[in-house]
Amino acid sequence: MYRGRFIPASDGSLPAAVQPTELTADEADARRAGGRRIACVLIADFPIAALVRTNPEWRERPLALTRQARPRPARGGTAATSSKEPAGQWTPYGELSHVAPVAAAMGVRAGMTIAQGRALLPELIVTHPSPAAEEAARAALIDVAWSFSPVIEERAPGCVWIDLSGTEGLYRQEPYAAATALEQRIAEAIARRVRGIGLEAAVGIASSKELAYLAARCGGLRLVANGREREFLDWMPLELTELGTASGGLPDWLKRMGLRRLGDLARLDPHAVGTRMGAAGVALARLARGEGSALVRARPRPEDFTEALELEYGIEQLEALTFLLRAMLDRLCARLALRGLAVGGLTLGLGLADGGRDERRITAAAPTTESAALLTLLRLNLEARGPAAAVETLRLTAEARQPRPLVNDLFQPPAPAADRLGVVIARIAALCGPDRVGTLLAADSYRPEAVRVGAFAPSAAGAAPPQSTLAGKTPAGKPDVAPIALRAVRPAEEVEVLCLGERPQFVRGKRVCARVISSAGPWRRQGEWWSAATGEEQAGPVARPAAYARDYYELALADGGVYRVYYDHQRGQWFVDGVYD
Amino acid sequence: MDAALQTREPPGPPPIYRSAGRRLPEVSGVFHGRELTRKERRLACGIEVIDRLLAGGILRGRLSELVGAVSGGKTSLAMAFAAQATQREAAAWIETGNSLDPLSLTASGINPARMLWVACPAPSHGRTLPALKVAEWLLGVGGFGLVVLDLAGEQRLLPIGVSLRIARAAEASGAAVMVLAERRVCGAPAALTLSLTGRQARFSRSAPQAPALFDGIEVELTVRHNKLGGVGAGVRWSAVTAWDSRSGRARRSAAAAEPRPLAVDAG
Repeated sequence: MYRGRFIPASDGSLPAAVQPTELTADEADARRAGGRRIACVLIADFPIAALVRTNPEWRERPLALTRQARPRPARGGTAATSSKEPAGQWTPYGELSHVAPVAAAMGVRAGMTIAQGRALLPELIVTHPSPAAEEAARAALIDVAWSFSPVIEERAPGCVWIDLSGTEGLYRQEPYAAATALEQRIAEAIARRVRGIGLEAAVGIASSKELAYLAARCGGLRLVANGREREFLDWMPLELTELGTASGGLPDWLKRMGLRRLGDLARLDPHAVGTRMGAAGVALARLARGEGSALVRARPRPEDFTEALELEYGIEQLEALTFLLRAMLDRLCARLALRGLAVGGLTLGLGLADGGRDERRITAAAPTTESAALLTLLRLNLEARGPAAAVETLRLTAEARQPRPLVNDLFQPPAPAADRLGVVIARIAALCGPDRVGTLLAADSYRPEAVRVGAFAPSAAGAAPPQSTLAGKTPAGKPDVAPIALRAVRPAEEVEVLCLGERPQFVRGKRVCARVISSAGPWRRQGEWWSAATGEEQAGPVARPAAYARDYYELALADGGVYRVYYDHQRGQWFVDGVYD
Repeated sequence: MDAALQTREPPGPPPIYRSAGRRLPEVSGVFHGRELTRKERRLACGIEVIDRLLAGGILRGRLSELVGAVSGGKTSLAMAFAAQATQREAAAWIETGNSLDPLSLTASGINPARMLWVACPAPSHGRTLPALKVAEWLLGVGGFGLVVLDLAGEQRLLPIGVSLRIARAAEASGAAVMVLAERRVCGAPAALTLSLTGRQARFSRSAPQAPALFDGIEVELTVRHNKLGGVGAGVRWSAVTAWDSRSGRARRSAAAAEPRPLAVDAG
């Protein structure tokens, strides 16, 4: 960008020949903005708000944070929940860094020592800031902002700017609605969604980022209409203008000069302010005149849907752990729902009291935002294999997936609801075993008894396989036949067979004992001799003959059953491995 | 028995099941602008004589029982129903043992991807069968066209409360629930009980000196209990061997399954 060189004239005005030919970056921003509206979402006392979000029972309690090192709980002190104040002893000279509004109303202030705070308010709850909770709250706030516009910028944790350009149409209920009413509706929607993730936000909407931030700092919902910026700023105390580097120690200096509000500064000559106060003074003067940057700089960021919790006590009981996981899942699902996504899987990381880590991954049968279903999966997983020690930290990460479309084929019957089916299959796996539920398929083996179990996914099933020539109504006047089914006997049951020559005459075993009426066979089946040559089967604890050579018979017995029986040449024994039914 | 079978004419299927587009009313529940009632929503097995006997098939949303001894054909008939169900819907096969054969599934025409298989453990003493609990869970999910509850080894009558719960779950989900057992185990909540008896195991030779082949079982089906009427009616049908894909041995197809002199009375 070309910029003209600034040469001050003797009379202080700029000569026409050297007037800047192009705008400064801020001027270009303002020019491009041209009626752009920016929303600022601000969470007051963010470290406390983040902590209250993970511990909702502290919402109306006098709470204060201290940066003092975390005290260790008394020996053997484990509790079911973290709803109470930690039992460790804080040193009385520790300084309070943040104070919740309830405690502040009773006179407790940041900067006081713990002893001073407790002297004013004996029931003051003192705890440590939780970086994990702050990170989760910060990500959740960004998710809320993303649900309104993809053009967002994070000013600091707990403060986000949203470019509202182009979003008005989503909230316009009548064609010629007043802009103020429309923005009021947007601000209410933002506050409502922030409340949905467990935070309370102040929302300001104005024509520039700085102005929107100042509006949000006033609390509640505040709109600054275009052209009425000066009216809003004139009364604004200079103490509120802590706008990063632009402020510096300037407000104090200005106060000494007798300037207390932005309106006082706006009435001064900007050139004079720039000469005396430098760049920071110019920026402050521009803010006082209602000028500011309206360009929200959106940056790509990784999508991380994580909720974390740090406990003061180790949790050993599954019920207490489930209680905490339920709240975490609710928050995660709310965040994903804001983005139009669903949970495809969960990764649960547990920090244990013995210093170990326990990480487990749970896959949902289908993407879902039903926290109850996901909680069941988590609980079943924890019941199947509990943590080795008491749990001190929890970290729950969701894998975001596009939700399953709910539109079914008009001419297809409804399929089982995938999320509910996933939960039920997980329950069945816990009851019967994971290898006893799914889709039963023949394994890639020549052994007749070889089967494998695949995952059941009816929605992914293609067209039905070609019908057996026998299935259904057969042509040529055979409407009364169907394929016969074999009921397998697993594992094959050893029987004693009396033969006359090569013909079986009598079968005696645990479940069958009868004379042979008729028989078919033998049919020789042999295979897998090649794996015996490699000796791989002998490596196991139990030497199992890999190769098999069997003579199969179909025997109709006098008890009415038709059995499949084979003679194993490797073992020299008879087995029954199925009954036709 | 043949004479007894012939004395009762099975009721014919309702008009909608005689129409060519039988599938559409099954799925939509509406035919000629009229909503089908529960009695009209049925699941056919594809064996024409049985479908005709049952006036279109077993009732959806009701509990049906297939009872019979070993080699009575109840598994083959249940697979025939499952084959029809899995053409368009999901089905579940819950068994108390571990006896389902995947080759028989595919030979029956079942789409294995649409068939959920659950092998439940044996119950501990005095406790409810886990299979019943699993069936109730799956019916609660909904979306299954058929749930087969294979209690083949079960001899005792199920507690009436359990049977009622299964029947109510079936009604709520709209799935046809079929219980396989050696004798009646569901009691009054069952809407239909079909008794199956293996009458004849068929063996044949292609030539006098050729080895004998197992062709199948001739089965007699009798309606033992039906809340919609028609008790005592029966038909005969055959469960025949198909293609044994694992051994590669081609077996005789149904069309060629002509009984030979080696037929043996196995009953």
